[in-house]
Amino acid sequence: MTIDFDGIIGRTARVPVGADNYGGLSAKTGHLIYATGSAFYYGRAGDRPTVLKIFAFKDRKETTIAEDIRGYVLSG
Amino acid sequence: MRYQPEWSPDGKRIAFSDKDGKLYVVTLADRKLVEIADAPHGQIRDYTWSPRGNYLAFSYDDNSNRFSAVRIWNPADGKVRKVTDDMFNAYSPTWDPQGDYLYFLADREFQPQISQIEFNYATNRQAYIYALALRKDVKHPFPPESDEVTIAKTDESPKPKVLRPVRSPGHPRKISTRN
Repeated sequence: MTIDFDGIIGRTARVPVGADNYGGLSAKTGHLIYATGSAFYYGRAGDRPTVLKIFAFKDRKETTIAEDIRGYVLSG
Repeated sequence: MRYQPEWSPDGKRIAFSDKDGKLYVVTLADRKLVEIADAPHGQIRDYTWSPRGNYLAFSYDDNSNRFSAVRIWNPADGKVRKVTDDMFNAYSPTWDPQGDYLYFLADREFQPQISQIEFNYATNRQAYIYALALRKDVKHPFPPESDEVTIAKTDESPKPKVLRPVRSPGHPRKISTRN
């Protein structure tokens, strides 16, 4: 595996999902896995639970895996 | 105080960071310790090895606007190169298992929430996910999709319509009383 650093910043593409508070981004062949969650509030819980999602490159769609998660770990 | 040792997938190196914002790599064969980066603000905690272990991606900020940039260390020449610019906060790099893209998060959405108590902005949903093509021959991950449709050809001269009684599917049929 090699990287062409020349002009690399110009080869950035946005993944077609909405703006959100993302965390735990990881990639598997053909898929991205990540969590979305609430913004931070003082003195109260967030306005929505943290949700684990998977994005498929094939159809460019995201699907919810689990709701109200605290964390996740992928197998090898 | 040192954090988070990460083995390279080829088993040749270990990356780790410390409380002072430094990032190190130790090479197992010669036990050589190399300082990869020294973040002036905070710590570096999102370092991750490429699938074959020949690059290390991470992020930190070294400029006055405090926006972090994603960087890649290449052990072959010992150089760290910035792969996102300083105009947007970019972080959490993660490698495509095929080694064609580097994905990362960046705060590039500025449609803020407006406070009700005083006039102020809250940019509380700023991030998008980005894909960086690592080589020039790597295709764009989301090329335009054609929405062209083919209109099926029909006969030029439509046949004269024959009116037939239509029975709707739900129409009650007559029940025959004959056996």
